[in-house]
Amino acid sequence: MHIIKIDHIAKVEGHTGFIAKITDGRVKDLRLDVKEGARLIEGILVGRDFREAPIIVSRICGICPLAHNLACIKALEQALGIKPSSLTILLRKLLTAGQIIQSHSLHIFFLAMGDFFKIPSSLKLARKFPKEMKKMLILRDLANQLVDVISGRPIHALITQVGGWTKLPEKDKLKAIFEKTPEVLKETLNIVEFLARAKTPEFIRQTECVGLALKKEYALYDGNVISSKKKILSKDFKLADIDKFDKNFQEFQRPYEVVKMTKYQGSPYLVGALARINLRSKLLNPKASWAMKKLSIKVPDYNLFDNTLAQMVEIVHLVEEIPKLLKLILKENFAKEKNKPIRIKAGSGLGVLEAPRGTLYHYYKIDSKGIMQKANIVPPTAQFLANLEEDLKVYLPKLKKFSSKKERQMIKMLVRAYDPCISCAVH
Amino acid sequence: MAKPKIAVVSLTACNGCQTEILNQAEKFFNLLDFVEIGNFPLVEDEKSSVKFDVVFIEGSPVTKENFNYLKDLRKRTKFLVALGTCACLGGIPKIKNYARSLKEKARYVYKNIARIANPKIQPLKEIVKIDAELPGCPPSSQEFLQLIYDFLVGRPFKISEHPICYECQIKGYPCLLLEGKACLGPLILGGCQAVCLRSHYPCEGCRGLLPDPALANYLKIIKKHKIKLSKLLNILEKFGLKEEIQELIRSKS
Repeated sequence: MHIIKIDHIAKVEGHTGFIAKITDGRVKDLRLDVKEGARLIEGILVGRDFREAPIIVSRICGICPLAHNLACIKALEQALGIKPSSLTILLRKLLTAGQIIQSHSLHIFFLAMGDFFKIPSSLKLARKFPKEMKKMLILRDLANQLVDVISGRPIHALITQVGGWTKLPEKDKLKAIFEKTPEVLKETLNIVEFLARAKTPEFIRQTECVGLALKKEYALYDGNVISSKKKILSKDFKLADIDKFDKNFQEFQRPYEVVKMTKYQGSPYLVGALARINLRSKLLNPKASWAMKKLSIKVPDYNLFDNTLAQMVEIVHLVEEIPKLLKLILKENFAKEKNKPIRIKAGSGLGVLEAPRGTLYHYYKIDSKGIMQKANIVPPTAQFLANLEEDLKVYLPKLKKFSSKKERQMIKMLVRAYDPCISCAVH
Repeated sequence: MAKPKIAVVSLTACNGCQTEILNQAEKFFNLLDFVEIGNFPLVEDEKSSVKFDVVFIEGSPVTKENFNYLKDLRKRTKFLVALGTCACLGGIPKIKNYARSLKEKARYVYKNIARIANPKIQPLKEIVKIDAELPGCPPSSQEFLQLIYDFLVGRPFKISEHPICYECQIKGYPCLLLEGKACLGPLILGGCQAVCLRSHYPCEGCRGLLPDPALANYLKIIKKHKIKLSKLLNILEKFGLKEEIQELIRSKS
């Protein structure tokens, strides 16, 4: 028997290791050894005023805080029967775009890219490719600025509220960002050309892809939950129907584990950039479609090593999308905009959106005083960990021919390609 | 002379503090001319150094591994810095301490709580000696860089002890206390440039109390604006300041 044990997989958000036992060339007992502490965020929310929730859930993750913040706000608005204004939705779509660029660019450059160039230190990688790093920083600055101007700061939003905003962004600042986007797009396309040099290892295992979809838009802020196997999952349940959600998306905790993984009707599935592109690549903006070809992504792509490149395609799409959204927003009359009034009443709501790593669900039930009675948060990483383990089970035997060092390197590379956010998964 | 060795690590955390540092990537890269990274697992997959000059720790000790790691790092470094509100004050994860029962909270989340570590959340200074604190949720990347710079030139790092109000007034932001909102500004350590107030959001104290806050005066002000003490105490639960304020109220009465 041969045991592979990795204590801590570096360049991943949060703490996880890996264990597998191989007997006679067969993989047994393979699992991600998640070591993150449980902060019990869902438990913390129960018994507290709903107005504290967006600020608390933001702290589930410092890389995708806005995704949690906005999914929470959406769920609470549903519970209270509040319909946000069209301007609010546009601004939130912009925030979603900014958040995804922030997170994807961090993952690509600081976490995953080193694997493509066989440089384990991201800081050494930055020194080796200073021009490309500079372009990446220009891209990140745009995203950080956008999130700062609309939500109050790049990490842990302040301005986003149930019903609207503490204040509307300054149009001058939005205009300044609008004017920067052509240059940023140019730099972003250069980064694509650079990444096209990366050779992804070959590993294909067909998997069910799940994500949000709309007919005319690459859905990220709103949409119906669809799957590559069945057309529309949210026909199985209306999204506000939590019992149907619970019956179809089952969270399960293996004995002694701190993470609750999720399966859809008993099977593991994939969410995230590659899943979204597999489902809806036809709705990508033009330069993003170009980037897909440049990065050799052909749909359906079941090689999870391509997930990092799929994130780059989404970044291009969003850098094209941002000026479109800004144009619409700058036309609106901010002076006439008012927050929707909040009338506290008992209710429940399910907020869904595409976080950077995949579909995110926040469910809450509040009482007539606005106190949280129930809270359930299902992050994308908790949804794809089961799928990652299935991939690893099939991939591991293929690594037999490599040295133990290379074997460990390839395992880590596949885990990193998924871009797991372990703090989110445990929360 | 060898470059000082630094490490940036997290216990149970959201990693927002480290992301904030990476948002100043260019300035951080420039630092590398003067310091050596001995361990930074979020961005480096290298073998960790054994000894360090400065270690930054983000997050809360929750698992047994967290506690052991914290105590072990303390032995291996000259200078230990608590990075961010979780490490300095307890932070958002500490809200569970104020619940009726910690076990109840774990049972709510998990069917099987047998191996779920569920201690009371403590700031790092209650477990090991801390040499400096960089409070804030997220902390200031400016202060992070300043601390390293001060270490390099042999100067003690000190955050200027003025309240948030000072920065808020200089920036000309509208005073939310005067609008009847429970803003903790007068009691809290400045250095964030009143970033929340810039967003018309009241200060909730993530940077911690001033060394000698003008509490009696503040309590008079909130009474005058009909802000209930119970509401204030509720806000103080968010980042973990409640006990300190309650202790101050007790000692002054």
